[in-house]
Amino acid sequence: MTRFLLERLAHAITVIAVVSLLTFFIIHLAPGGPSLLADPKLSRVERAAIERELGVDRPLPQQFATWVTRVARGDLGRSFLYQTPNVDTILARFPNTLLLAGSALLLSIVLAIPLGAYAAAHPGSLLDRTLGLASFTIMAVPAFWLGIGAILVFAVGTHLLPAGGASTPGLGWSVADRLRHLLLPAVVLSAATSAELFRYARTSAGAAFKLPLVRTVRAKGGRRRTVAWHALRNALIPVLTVIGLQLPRLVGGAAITETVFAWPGMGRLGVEAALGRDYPLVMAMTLFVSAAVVLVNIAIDLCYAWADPRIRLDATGARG
Amino acid sequence: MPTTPSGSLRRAIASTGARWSLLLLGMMLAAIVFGPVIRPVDPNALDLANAAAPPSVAHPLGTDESGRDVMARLLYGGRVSLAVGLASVVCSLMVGISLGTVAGTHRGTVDAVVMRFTDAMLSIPTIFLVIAALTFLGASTVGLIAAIGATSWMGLARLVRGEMLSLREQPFVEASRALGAPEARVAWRHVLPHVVPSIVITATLGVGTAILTESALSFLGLGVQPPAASWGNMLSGAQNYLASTPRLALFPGLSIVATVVAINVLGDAMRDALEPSGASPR
Repeated sequence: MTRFLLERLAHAITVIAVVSLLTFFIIHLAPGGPSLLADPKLSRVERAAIERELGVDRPLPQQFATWVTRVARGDLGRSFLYQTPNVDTILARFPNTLLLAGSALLLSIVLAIPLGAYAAAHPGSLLDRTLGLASFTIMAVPAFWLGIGAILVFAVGTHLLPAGGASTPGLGWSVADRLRHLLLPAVVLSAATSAELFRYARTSAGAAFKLPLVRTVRAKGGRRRTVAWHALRNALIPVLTVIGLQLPRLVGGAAITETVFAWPGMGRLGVEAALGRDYPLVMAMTLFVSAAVVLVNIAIDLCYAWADPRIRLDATGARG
Repeated sequence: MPTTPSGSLRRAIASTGARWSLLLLGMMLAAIVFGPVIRPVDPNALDLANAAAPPSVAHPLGTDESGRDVMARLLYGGRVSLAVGLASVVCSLMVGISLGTVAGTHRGTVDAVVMRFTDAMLSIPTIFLVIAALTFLGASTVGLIAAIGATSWMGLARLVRGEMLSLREQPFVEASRALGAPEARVAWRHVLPHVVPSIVITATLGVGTAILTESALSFLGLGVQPPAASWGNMLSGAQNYLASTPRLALFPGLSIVATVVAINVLGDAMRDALEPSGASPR
């Protein structure tokens, strides 16, 4: 088990290193070099200052070494737009995205996995077919469109929920207010993930019900709950993979959803940074998000090991 | 190996959903190809005196906020959206298949480097990558295609590599290697053809995803640039007129949803036909 963890950790560190290499070269291979990435209207003096700060006059390997040392020290550079350290800018927005993406993911899991399992247990039923069609449709709707539609119906039309923002300005902090603001963006963000997760859960549970192991439990007269438990545990493995793969997409989707709902999160920050050519911030965010994704994937690997004992054994070399 | 690749693809088309999807996509394609014949009107001709007009004989689907003919824009926009979808998938196929093949045939360091690169790309939210790529490539249609293609090949690379690794142990592959065929020839002639069905499925679904990506980018102002029409930018252009003329958003929205649903149903049917074991009982 320890070896399994260490292996995954080594893999994670390699991936983060590759991402940092990628982000570094994206900055430096940009046409005109990093100094031109700032506002082209900048004066020569300002541009020279940026060049000095980025150290672009020095050889590339040396620059990369500097960048890596800085990153290792937790210094992700300074933003062109905000003129603040990127780490602070990101951390200020991070809790909002964590809240939004976390709620959306939770909502998807709670909705999609039981529904998928139910549909798999009742193939061809009305609910199965309805959910199948609904999931295809939801996956095909552009997310921003769903968001604007939701605002039109629930905020503009019926005034049930606020149209945007994370809280009512001047109201002070209240759980009810935060939840009211969270509801629409979280549902919109979770829609595509739920639909996709449902499809995987449906397929995966369908396959699990046919496993010899599950058939045996059923043949031995196991109760429905026991059968379902054995099937579910096996069905969870591919579903976990999908959750891991959905994470970056969830943050990417959050970029659109946050823009639609004026949600003060990281995704919107990333979009604004990219549109404003704030490269240091874009790259800092890329690194931050991918590190977070990689770490969560380690947690998912641990869940695998729980769901499938063979994975544990493989990694410790006891088998194959 | 379940039957021949073409056999399973033929089986996929036998399902009802797939047939409807093919019919719909075929009709879409015909409408788009023959767009100038069906609606011989300049899609970019402004007529501000006649803005946001309801459907009439002169304008079967009405006009948009600048008085342009919605039907003509829908047909031309469909060309652009589908072209962006198809072309970016071709880009991602080229990158994904090459990297997957390289990683699958050269084990060891090359494999590790390619796969860590793939993992790294997978851990970054695509939308950030696309936006970053677009600011380099410029927000042109070609730049858009390259940017979407360059950020959507990872699943394919993994798929091709995985299939390569499992297939290279098969007796027929070992036989051709034993006969002295060079590694590249073995990969190209004997292994890759068996991966084709999976690639076709991934590519099919990829077209739908690319159409959605284009519409999301249009929303951020980075999609196909106006005045040229795409379904994405028509939809995002309509958002300011939702309360007054919701029709403007309805047509491009429905076009996107219908196309992407058809593509996904088709892709799903193909997957079911290819992997009967994992498929759901229908």
